[in-house]
Amino acid sequence: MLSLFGSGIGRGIAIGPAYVLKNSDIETPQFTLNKQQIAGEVKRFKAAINETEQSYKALLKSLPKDAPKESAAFINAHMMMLRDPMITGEAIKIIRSELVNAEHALQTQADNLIRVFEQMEDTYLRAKKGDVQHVTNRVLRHLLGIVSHSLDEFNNENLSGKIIVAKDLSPAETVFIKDRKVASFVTDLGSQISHTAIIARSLKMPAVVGLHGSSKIISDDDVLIVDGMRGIIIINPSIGVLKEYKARQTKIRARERELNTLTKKPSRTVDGQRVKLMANIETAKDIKGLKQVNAAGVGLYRTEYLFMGREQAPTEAEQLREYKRIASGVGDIVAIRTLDIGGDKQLDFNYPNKQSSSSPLGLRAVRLCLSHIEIFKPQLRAILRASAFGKVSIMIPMVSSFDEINQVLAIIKQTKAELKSEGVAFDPRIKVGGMIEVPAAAIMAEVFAQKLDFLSIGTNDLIQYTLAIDRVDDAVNYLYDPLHPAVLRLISLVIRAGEKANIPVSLCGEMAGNVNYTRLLLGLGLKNFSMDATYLLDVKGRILNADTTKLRYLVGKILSSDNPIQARDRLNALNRL
Amino acid sequence: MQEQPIEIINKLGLHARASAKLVNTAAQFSSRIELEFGEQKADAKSIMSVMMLAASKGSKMLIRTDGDDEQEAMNAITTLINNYFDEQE
Repeated sequence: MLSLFGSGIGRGIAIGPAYVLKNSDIETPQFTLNKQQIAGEVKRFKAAINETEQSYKALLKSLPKDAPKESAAFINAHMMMLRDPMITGEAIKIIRSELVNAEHALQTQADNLIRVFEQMEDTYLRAKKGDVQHVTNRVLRHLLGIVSHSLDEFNNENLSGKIIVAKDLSPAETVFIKDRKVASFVTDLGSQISHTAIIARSLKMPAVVGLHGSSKIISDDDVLIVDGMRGIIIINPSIGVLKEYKARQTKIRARERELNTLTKKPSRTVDGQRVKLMANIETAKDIKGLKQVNAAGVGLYRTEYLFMGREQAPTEAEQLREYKRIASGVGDIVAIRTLDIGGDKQLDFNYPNKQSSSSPLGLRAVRLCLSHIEIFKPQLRAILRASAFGKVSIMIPMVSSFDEINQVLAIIKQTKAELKSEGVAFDPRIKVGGMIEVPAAAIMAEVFAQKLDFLSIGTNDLIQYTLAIDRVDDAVNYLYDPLHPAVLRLISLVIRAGEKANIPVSLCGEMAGNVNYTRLLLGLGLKNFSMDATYLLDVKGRILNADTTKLRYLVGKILSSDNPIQARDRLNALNRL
Repeated sequence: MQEQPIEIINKLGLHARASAKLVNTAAQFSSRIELEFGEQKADAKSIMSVMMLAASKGSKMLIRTDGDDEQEAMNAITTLINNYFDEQE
C-alpha cells in the first residue's frame, strides 16, 4: 500500500483498476543483418503489416454508430497508406539493399516521406506528415510487440470503471474519458485550475492531478483509491482501508440524495433575496444534467468544443444546428460565448499567428476572433439565426478595451443587416454581454457597462491576470488565490458597475461553484451564479440558509484584508456564522 | 492513351481523404493512371504518391490513362474531381 498526494478534484471517491496510458515514445532499434536473415526479416515485416491491418479493421468495426464520419474516413486513409508501395514497398527495398532490420527500414522511409511533407507550402498538407508517423508507429508497435494504451479513436478496449493514469491529458483525450465511462483519472501534471480539472468536475468525477511521477510508480490493474476531496491516491490498499473508503463512498452518495430534495425549491436567501443559479455547459449532452438540478438557464455555453479536435472550423449551418438544439433543449436563457481559444484549448487546424494563442497574453479569445473574421463571422451568423428559436444571448470573452467592444458591436450590427436583407429570421434585440476577465476590463467595467447588456465575471482568468500567474504553469500556481484582496476588490467593482448601469452581472468561473465562496459572493452583492450543474445543489443549499443583511459587514472586512491569509481567516469566520 | 487537363476545385485540395477517394476510384480500373502536376508525376493508385503532389485548390494538372479501360477510368477520375470529391465545398 502506498499513498501519493496531489491536488484533488471533486467530492467523490473512485475505486478501480489502473489503466496506465503509454503514448508514442517508441525507440526504433537499428541493427544489421546478414544475407541469410533477409528473407525472414521481410516475412516478419509483412506479418506486422498484416497484424496492423487487422487491428485497423477491428477498429472500424468497433466504431460506435454516433462516431463522427471523419473517424472512419481517417482509418480508411491510414489503411490505404499502410498498403502503399511508397511506404511498405520502399521499406522492404531498404531491408534488402541495406541489410537492416525492419523497424529501422520503415522509420528511414517514413523520415524520407516526412521530409518531403515538411517542405510543402500548403500548411494543411504539411501537417499531414503526422499521418505518416501515425501509421508508422502502429506498425512499429506490432513489430516491437509494444502494447499501446492510448486514449484516442484507435483504442477499442473496454475502459468502463477504470482509472486512467497519465502524465497529462490533452482536452481531446478528456473527451474520450467522457465517452468511455472511465471512473476517474490521475495525472502527474496539472493543478486544480487546469483545463483537465475543469472537465473532471463537469463529469462529476473525482480525480487527483499534480501527482508528480505517479505514472511511473503505478502499473496496469493496480487497485487505486482516488480521493478527490483530500487529493490522495492509495495504490493497492489494504483490506481495512478499502473497507473504510467504501463506507465513505456510500456516505457521499447518501449526501447527494439529500441534496436532490432541494431541486424544486425556489432559490432565495433567508431575507428573501432571489438568486439566479445557472449552469455552464459545453455540448448538448450537458442539458440533461442541467435539467436534473433545475438550473435557471445557461450562464456560459463554451462553444470551443465544437471547434476543437477537427480539421476545419464548423460551417455556419453546422453551428446553427447545434445552437438551435441547445437553445430549444434548454428552454431558458442561453449565453453563448463566442470562440474562446487560447492556452490549453487549441484548434487542430492552422491559422496565421497560431503560435501566439498559446500565451496567456497572446492572440486569444476575442482578439483571435477579431483578427480572423473568417472564423468569427459564421459563428455570429449562426448565433443570431439561433436567436429566432430561443432565448439566446451573445457573450464576448476577454474584452479588454472599449474599442474592442465597439468593433464587436459594429460587426454584430453589420451581420444583422446582412441577415435582414437576406430575409433570414433572428432576434433583433438579442443581448450582447462581455466577459470581465482582464483587470483592465474590471477597472473599466463602469464604462463598458454603458455599451453592454450584461457582464459576466470569468474568475479563472481574472485571477490569473490580476496576480500575473500562468495557470497552466505548475511552478507558480501555488500563488493562484481567489482570496487575494486584489481579486475580491475587482469583483466587487464589477458588481457595483452593473448595479449602477442597471444591467445583470453574473459570475461563471470556478469560484461560483465552490461552496466556500457562496456567502462571500452573496455578500458582495452577486445575484447571478453560473457553474457546472454538478455543484448547483450544493451552492443552493448555502443560499437557502444565507442572510445577506448579515453578510455585508463581514464581507466588507474580508475586502479590506491586508493579505490572502487574513482574508481566509475572515472568510472562515463568515462561513461558520 | 487518354490525356486531359483538370483543375482541383475543392477547398482543401488533395488532402488525405480526397486522395483516398481518388486512389479508391483509380483502383477500380486496370489501366495505368498517372497525374502530372508541374514537374512531378504520381501514380493515382498510390495514396502517398498522390498526397505528395501537394496539389492545393486551384492546382492545374494533367491526367493520363493508358490501358483497356482508359476511357472509363478518365471519366470516373474527372467526375470525382469536378464533384469536389463529394465533399461539402
